[in-house]
Amino acid sequence: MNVPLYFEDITIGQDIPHQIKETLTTRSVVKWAAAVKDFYEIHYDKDFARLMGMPDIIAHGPNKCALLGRLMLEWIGEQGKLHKLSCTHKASNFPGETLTCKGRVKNKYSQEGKNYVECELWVENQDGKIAAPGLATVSVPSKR
Amino acid sequence: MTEKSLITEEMRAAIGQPLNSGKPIDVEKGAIRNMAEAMNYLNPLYLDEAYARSKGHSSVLAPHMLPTYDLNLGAPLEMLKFPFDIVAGLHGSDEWEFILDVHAGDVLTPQGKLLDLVEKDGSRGKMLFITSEITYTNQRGEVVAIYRPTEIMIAK
Repeated sequence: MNVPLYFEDITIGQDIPHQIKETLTTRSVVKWAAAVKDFYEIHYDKDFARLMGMPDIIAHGPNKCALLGRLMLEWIGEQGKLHKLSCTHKASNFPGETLTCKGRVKNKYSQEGKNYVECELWVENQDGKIAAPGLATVSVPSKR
Repeated sequence: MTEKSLITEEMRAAIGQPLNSGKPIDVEKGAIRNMAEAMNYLNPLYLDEAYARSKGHSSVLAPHMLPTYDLNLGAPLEMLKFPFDIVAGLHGSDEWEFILDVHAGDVLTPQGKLLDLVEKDGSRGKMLFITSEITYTNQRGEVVAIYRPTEIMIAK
């Protein structure tokens, strides 16, 4: 993963040639709960989640946002920088689902000596349903 | 039938007001490791002090979302008096600006404010979108990150 990604090697419209796939489990959801100290019961108490109309406990939205961040960081490598990241939570995800994070290059430009790349990102489940569409802005080095 | 707004004058007046977003966070290596493992992202910059130092960092690097450790996401709910009963609350969206790296040993102070209130009609009825803005400042007084989460309240 430490081969530098250069600005010149990125094309507007290209798919990000890297994906992340993670299967959600009760354990993975609880690990995120502990990592951020978000102990809202919908994330670990199945009875509570059912009272809230969910079939099971749900993954934290920011956990999915963090996975989109990881997608960008693994793609751009240590020479790149993540500047902006956002996502909208369109669907809940449950233990047993497999999430895949994907992206596409939307734009690239140079400004004040930095080479910025804007990407559309999304988290989809095993059925291809998009749970969290998002956007990211990164900068990467130039060969020049 | 006249539809009543979900946003009272009192609520509208709260836009821009500070929120109780939590106490300063001591960024600890254990918390960094826990978040790295929760993301299943075992980046040596997060986990290996010697490696991180060899790359010019003062200590292990924190994942970008570490500032939300122990965040009081419910702060707007403590401040706002809703003129409706809530059927459900959902976390609607996340928006981040990352300005400076955060390392183990840093102390981050969150300062939140109520950024916006927006009313929408959805499939489950009327919804109130509550957006906060939390600015994180380190022990040197530098802004390291800005986080704008949106919570959605579905009205009965």
